[in-house]
Amino acid sequence: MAELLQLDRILYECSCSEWAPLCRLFYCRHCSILRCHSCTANEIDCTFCGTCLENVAVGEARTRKNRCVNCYQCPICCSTLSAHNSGEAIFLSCSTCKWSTFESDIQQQATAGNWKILENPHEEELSCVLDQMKQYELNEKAQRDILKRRSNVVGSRLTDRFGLQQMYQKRKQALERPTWLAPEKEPITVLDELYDSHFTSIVDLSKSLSLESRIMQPLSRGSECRPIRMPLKGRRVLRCTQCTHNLSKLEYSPSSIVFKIQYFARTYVPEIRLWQETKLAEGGICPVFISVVNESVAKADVVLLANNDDSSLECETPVVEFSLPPHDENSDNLSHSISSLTPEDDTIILRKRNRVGLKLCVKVDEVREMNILSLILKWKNELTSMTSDKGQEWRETRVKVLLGKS
Amino acid sequence: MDAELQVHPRAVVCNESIITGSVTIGADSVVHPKAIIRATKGPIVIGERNLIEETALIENTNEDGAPLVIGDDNYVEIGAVVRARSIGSRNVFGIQCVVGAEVIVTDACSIGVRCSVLKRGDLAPRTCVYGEHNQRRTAAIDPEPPTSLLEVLRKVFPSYHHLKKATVSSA
Ligand SMILES: [Zn+2]
Ligand SMILES: [Zn+2]
Ligand SMILES: [Zn+2]
Ligand SMILES: [Zn+2]
Repeated sequence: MAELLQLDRILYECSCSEWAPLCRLFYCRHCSILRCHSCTANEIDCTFCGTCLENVAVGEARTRKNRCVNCYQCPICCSTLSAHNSGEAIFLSCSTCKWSTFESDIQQQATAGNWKILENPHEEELSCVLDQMKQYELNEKAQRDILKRRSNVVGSRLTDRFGLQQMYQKRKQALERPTWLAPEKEPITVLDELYDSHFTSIVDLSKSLSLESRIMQPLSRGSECRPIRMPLKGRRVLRCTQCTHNLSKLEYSPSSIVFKIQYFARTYVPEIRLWQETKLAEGGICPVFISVVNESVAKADVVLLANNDDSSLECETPVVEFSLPPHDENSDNLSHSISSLTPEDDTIILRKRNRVGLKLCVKVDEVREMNILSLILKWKNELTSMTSDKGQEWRETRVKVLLGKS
Repeated sequence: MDAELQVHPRAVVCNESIITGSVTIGADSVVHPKAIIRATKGPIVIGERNLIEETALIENTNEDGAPLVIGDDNYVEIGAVVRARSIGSRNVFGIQCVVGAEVIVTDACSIGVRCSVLKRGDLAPRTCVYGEHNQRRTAAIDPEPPTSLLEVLRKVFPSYHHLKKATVSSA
């Protein structure tokens, strides 16, 4: 039964000709087309800590190296560390693997935050090199500029009434090649000898860190651990690549799960679902039971057409036409009242509010590993466009139904 | 059957707990409804301030009929299956964990949620079993005992549940 609800059993064709389950697709009402993750523009809308849900501005996140300053991760198993009070001081411990700050060089401290993390011993030198490189960049830029406007170098004759002399001096200074201030490094010629004992001595695995936790803290040099600052998470906004309108955007606060903008395909496109598992028997005509649901708040007219050209099965039901009432949010979803139990015809065998149950007949020549029933879904729904007259147009997409083996 | 059950006057053992065989429950220990304690092959002796939650199973399967002695301050969480040879003090048995019959649990060990310890032998003090693959490490501190939870339950259970009557130990 659960197999029927598998997302990848029914795939819709996106406007970029990717195939995806309907719940993973978006619908742009400005362009009136389906959009998937690969044909939308993704951008980071806010960075936040997944543990304390603090919203961190992008610039601040960069200076904090994309880490939260209040939350810490276990260096052994990545779980969130929790602070405990031991009477006089605070220590952190992991509830999963029981690692605690008692196993690090800073056992306890007075406050819950601001734990010292492992520092790069070459930090100062590296930032010095970085500064130097920036100066070189300025120098090279100045040289490029002078080539462009070589004609009017008249600096020395100018009076300094407009501060031009100063500007000129500055530019002249920028043109001088900066001297290298960072300490230079001598290449190593003699390497430490590799002793046989490296291979023969018995290693106590319980004392050494796992590869995973060594990657998490490259500065630990194999043994010492300290709490790791929690990496921040980025939240995405999706845009239509054609009209650049937002397709999905959450409210500003990371703790809120309410959407400000949501154009999910399910609310604009009728959803096809498997209703019963199909038993395919070779050489016969088998019934395929599917249901079509309208999750939109407007009425939908639907036409389902057989698309036997790219189908591995031949659909004997050429066309089904019906219309579906809008989804009523106030109705009780759990009630099992069925509006019409008596089959309208051979194809539409059930109607229940905004849902119909269909029986399609399929001719099976050969049962394969993958049996694909290909359909064309056409629908008309006034919400499929921003303008009401275009809302009266028919929309169309291809749908693949993956049926079981036998 | 119940004659074999000895409950300390300060212990709180709910009537709906399922206890069979010769079982002794020490002072301030709490046994939830639907917790199962089975002295199948030999007696079970439970010490003080132990907390045994619902659907947890403690069973003595010692082939030689030796008693399964459980120390103090142990916490057996929901659905844990514990069939150890002996259990020390201050251990935490996580939700739905499994401890095999040949295991000797010493002190301050913690078995993670759904972890299993089946290999015969001692579980050294402060051993922690965690994660999907039952990784092991030795912790620097004891796991936290459920002291405040025990206190609350000792107050609440008598007002909402029928309890097994305390028996004065003859020994
Ligand atoms: Zn796409
Ligand atoms: Zn945080
Ligand atoms: Zn951990
Ligand atoms: Zn668009």
